Amino acid sequence: MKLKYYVGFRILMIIPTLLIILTLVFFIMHVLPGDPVRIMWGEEIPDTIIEEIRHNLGLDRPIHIQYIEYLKKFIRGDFGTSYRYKVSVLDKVKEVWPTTLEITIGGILLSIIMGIPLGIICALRKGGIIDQVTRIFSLYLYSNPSFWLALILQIYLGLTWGLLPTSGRCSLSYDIPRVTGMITIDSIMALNFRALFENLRYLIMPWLTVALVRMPRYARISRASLLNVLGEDYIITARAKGVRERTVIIKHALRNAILPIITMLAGSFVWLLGGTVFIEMIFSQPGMGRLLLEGLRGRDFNMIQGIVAIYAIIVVGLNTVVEVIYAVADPRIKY
Amino acid sequence: MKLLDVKNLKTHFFTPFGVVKAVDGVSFELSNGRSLGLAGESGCGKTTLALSILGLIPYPGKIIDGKVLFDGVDLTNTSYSELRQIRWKEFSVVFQGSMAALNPLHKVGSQIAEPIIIHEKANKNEAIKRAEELLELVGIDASRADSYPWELSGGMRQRVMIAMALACNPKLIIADEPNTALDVIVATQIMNLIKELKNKLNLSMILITHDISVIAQTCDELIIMYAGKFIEHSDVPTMFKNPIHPYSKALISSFPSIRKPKSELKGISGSPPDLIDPPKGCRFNPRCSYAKDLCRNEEPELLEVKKDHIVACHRSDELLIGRL
Amino acid sequence: MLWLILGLSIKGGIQVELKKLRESKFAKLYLAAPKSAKINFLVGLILDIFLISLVIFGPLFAPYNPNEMIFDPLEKPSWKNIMGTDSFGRDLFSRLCIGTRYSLGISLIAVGVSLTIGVLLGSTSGFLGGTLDKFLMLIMDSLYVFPGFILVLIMAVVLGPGIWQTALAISIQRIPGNFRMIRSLTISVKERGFIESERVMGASDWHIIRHHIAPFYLSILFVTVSLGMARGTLSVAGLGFLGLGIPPPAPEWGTELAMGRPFLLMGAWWLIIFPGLFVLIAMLGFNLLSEGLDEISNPALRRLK
Repeated sequence: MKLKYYVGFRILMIIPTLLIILTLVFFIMHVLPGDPVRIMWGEEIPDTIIEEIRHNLGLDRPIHIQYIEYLKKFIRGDFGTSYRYKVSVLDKVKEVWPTTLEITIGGILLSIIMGIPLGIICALRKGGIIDQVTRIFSLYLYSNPSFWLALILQIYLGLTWGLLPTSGRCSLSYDIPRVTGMITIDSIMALNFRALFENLRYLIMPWLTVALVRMPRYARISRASLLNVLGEDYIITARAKGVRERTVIIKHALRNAILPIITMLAGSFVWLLGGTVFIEMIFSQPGMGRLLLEGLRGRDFNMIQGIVAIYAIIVVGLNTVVEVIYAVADPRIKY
Repeated sequence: MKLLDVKNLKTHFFTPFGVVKAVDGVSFELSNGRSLGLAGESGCGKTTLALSILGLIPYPGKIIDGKVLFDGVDLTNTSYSELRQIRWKEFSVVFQGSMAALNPLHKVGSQIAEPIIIHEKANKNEAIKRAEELLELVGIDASRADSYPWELSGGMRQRVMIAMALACNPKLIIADEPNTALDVIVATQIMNLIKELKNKLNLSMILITHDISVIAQTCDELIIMYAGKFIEHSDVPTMFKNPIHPYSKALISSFPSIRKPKSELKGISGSPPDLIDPPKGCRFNPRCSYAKDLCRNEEPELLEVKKDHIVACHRSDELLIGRL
Repeated sequence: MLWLILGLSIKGGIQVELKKLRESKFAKLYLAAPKSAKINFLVGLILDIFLISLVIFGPLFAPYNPNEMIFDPLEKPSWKNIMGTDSFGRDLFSRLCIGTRYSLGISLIAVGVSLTIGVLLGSTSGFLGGTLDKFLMLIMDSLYVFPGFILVLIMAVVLGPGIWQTALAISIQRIPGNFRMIRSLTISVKERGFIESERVMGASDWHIIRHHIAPFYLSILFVTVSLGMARGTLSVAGLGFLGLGIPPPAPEWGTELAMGRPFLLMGAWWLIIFPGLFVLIAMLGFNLLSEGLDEISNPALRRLK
């Protein structure tokens, strides 16, 4: 298949995948015990009014009708209104998702910067001191529950030593026009570097938490991938040809070793979307994870479905992008 | 002066299971324009010998003794960076297993051009042009320079390896099992190509293989290796007509000949010895039908039993006159 | 008298087992493994045995009743309460010991369920192929890409609090992963020639599955279980921390962590450090064990080490 068709195929595959996820979540939601209307309005309201509210929200129609309505609205991009916040789900999500994105992207970038070079060094100096120490530490870091690590960071860096603010998003003293919603980017765009540094202080601990837990994984996969490639015959060929060692490593070894690392990165991003729930909770960051949690607790169907749908879109989209990148980067893949 | 002079080379691998004596004291010389065939069973140390000459022995191996003199220069005493500069320019290798030996993510043309850019300071375009010429020389259409290794058939990849080996006009080519993994027809084509190039370009060659029929077609001399040591060395006609060492005899008779009268195919019983703990005395003695006590206790030396014909066997004189 | 006979037969049984173990294939692999693998394996094994004994003999380890509020609340760790007390005056150490049962128990159930379903679906799908396979693959793939914890979260809320519910929530999330792994194993075994020759001999599908395919799973079984336990424990603790999963007064590690949070400002650091420490030890135990096992049973991997 030519590249164009392959891309087209992958894009087409998004539809059934999304459908399955959305359907599954929809039906799970409606098996959920607990009446959302009751939970919202409390026990004292008489049943008749509850019925009326339920009718208004369309919750008393048969399930399959609700399902079709749901899909129809989804296609239009209408995720409905949040029961709790009384605003459109989409608006609410748009308000918070830059936070999640900022934490996720920043965290991953930090892990990459910390982890991949470490992995490469360990591979090149296999068995050396750095390698051994890294392996021990990796196992330890990797076994840490992220929420515990976050709490510990919060206690020591924040409370005990007062180095960093323990919660919240940004210094309210700086007023920055909201362009993307991500403070780092917005402050840079406003050229307000003092604000940038002030606000970064709030982000360091979330980022560090993410990085410390993910880094061992990246280091390890980088190491394994590079070692694997270094054991291949074409590396010997390259050396036999008189290629400089540095070039052998960069042009021959790393180029081939990078591919598995890319797949891993994408998988990480997805995982992280789920894992930010804890970080957002602990550091009081208003993000999608927290929104989802509130939605779940309050049986806010529309919110839950909306967030899940958005997660699904991000995840499936990202997956497709990675598959395409892989297909382009590795000419061996037949499509 | 000899082109290649190997003196008592010993390459051992220091593994957790013990020391593997892959190459345990071998010596030979190769003159300009001559081709040498190196034969032996799998695992007897042939490839390690080739890698030792190149200075590319993988961990945990090391050259622990001996010298490799190329054009008078002691390769075993040269630093890695100096070695790097003469590699490929003076001698090159056609590796076994072309699929694994070529980088899957680089185009074939640029892989051939790579050494040219490094050693002859050519720029990329000139190098690619030369690569295309080389491809034509080995019988591949120049347009294939843009292909990736996995897009080519086994035979074509082998030709690419040969073209790559010729890139910097080396004096010596070491071909390690160029025919394994190729079917008979393609293998013959490759051998003919090698023969043709050798004659045209007056190359010196070391051909490593376990298939001695190939050596018969292309080489001047033949060395037979067993368990890390040379056991017989002479020119090709002599080796095929009158092999002396029991192993050589068995090896040569394992290959059927069209001309000789019909006879049974004789194999060699037993299996190759453990290189960590080789048998005491002559390493072939457990499998040798002529072994006597001396063979089990003392290692035989390589001795010249006839002009230009050396053998390592205690009973070589008896075998020579055909008494056994 | 009866005890004597029982004791001797147990001793005899153990001796036989030890002998079998020493001569088994595992022993050979073990001895050939590099030192680091052995260390991983042994340390992991010791930690796991410790944890398992906590599960079985919990009450013996715990010095006090985990639910009795007999101490002063929010006491620092002391000789009396080696890990301090919580806000209700209960001994933290005893609570955490008993808490092991929840974390490990639920993990075990989750791993068992998901592995069983994964094996059943995966091997059938891989073996039979065709539309069933494509259909299942589509569903499993869609679920697989989805962020795992979100699925667990949703399921946990839907199913409600409780032991079985939490176990089910966690296991459902793990099924797609197990399914894929078993399926690819099945397919790779299927593609080896000997299945065809078995068919020619007239063996039924079921026979083939049982005698030829199943043994391959055994090799990865222990590693999968160990890893599954690690992730399961983390999920259980995570859910507990969020207030889902096992409700108080059950002394689950994550729940304890969450309950201790508000008291941080009063300086009650032990309420945070120790529960997390237990989770860490559990994770370390399982991760090390699976690492070590993996390295030992897969000598091919050793080239990379």
